[in-house]
Amino acid sequence: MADDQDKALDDKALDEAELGDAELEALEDLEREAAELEARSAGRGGLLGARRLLLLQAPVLVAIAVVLLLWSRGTPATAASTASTATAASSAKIGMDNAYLDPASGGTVRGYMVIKNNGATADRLVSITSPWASTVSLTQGTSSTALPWITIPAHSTVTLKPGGYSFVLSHLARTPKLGDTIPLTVSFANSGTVYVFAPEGPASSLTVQKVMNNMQYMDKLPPK
Amino acid sequence: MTQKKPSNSDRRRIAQEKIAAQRKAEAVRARNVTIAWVVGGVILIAGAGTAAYAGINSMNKQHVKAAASAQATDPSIDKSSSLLASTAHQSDGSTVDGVVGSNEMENLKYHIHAHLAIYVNGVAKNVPYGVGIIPPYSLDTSSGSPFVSGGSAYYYLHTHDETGIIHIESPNSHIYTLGNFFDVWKQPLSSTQVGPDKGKVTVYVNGKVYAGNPATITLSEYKDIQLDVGTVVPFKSFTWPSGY
Repeated sequence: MADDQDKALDDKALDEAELGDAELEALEDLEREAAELEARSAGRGGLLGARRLLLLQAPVLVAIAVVLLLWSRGTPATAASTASTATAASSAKIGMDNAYLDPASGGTVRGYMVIKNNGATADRLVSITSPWASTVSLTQGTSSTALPWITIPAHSTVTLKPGGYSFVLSHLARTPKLGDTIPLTVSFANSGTVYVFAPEGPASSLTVQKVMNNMQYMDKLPPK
Repeated sequence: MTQKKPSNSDRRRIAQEKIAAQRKAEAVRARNVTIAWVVGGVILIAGAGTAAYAGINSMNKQHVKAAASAQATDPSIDKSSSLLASTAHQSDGSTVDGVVGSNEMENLKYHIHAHLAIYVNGVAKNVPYGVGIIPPYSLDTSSGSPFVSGGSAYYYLHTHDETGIIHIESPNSHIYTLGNFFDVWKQPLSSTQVGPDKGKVTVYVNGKVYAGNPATITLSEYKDIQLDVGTVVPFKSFTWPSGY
């Protein structure tokens, strides 16, 4: 209340008094500031402009969120799918059946197995090792020439069999007897290493019990 | 008609009112802009989060499809129709539960066997060959029932065939559990679920009802375990083949 009275008195004095240069300049500064504020507000669209921004921004952001959602459900997943499908399709899918060894003959033992490749790319059988022999060669027919590898084409089965491809154990550390279970470390170029147990004798002579009893002798000869 | 020139006091009052009004409007505008940014940020974060979730979910589904596709073409994996679950998604050779490693068979500390039978609503479900053995496999199919005679890696807990015999071949004296075996297989096991099948699980151990969580059953020599999901099937004792 007292402030209002003081202000009225000031206004009256202002009206009645001749303003000095400094006071006049202060009043003009005040008016200039008011004008600038109004101009700046008008430039931004004023209060309505801010509300308009709020109203416009939300739908735009929602639209961006929807686009992100659709993008994630579309492109990347498709890319991932394509990548995984391509990986699955491009890799070799190796499996082996019924490995076995013929009886020893002339200081060597010849072995066989069926190798399947259900993948879309070829693989190569590159080596076989065994603690029973210092040399294991890949051969074809009766040739004594070692093959560098045996190719397992895509979607194919290669059967190592008498007269065809085989592997030959030589420089034997011990001559296997009928019924012995021989560990073989079989390596493929793409599919890695497989630890295989093969019987000396027909494939059907191998049993789970023989496999499990020889697992600890994967890298060494079993006791006699 | 002449307009009266405003007095200096009016000029000052008008200017002050305008400044006050503009400052008030600016405060409201600033508040609205803040609201707009906060709302916008929340929408963007929510959108990006949802997108990321949907993307990951979609990729997971694609991986499941890819794994299923891989299973269909992999010559190693057991595809028998009577299986509880395939080995397509099992562990890949890394240590499971911090205790189940692989490929140390040459350092064998103990080698024992347990047996697991599973019935889902009265129907026998087989444990596949190759649980705990990483493909590629060498299979022996010459005698009818295929069994795994080779693989790229062997977990301490594994199966060679579909008989339900679990091989425990450990390089240390750790006592493993049925839960460890299911974790190698990457199948759930609890009092309400066995693999993909849900329901009340009745557990028998050596012919006696086991009231606890089946995952805690320790695997000891010749332990005979039966899990019935849903319908209770009386315990059937397993006859061990010779050589075990």
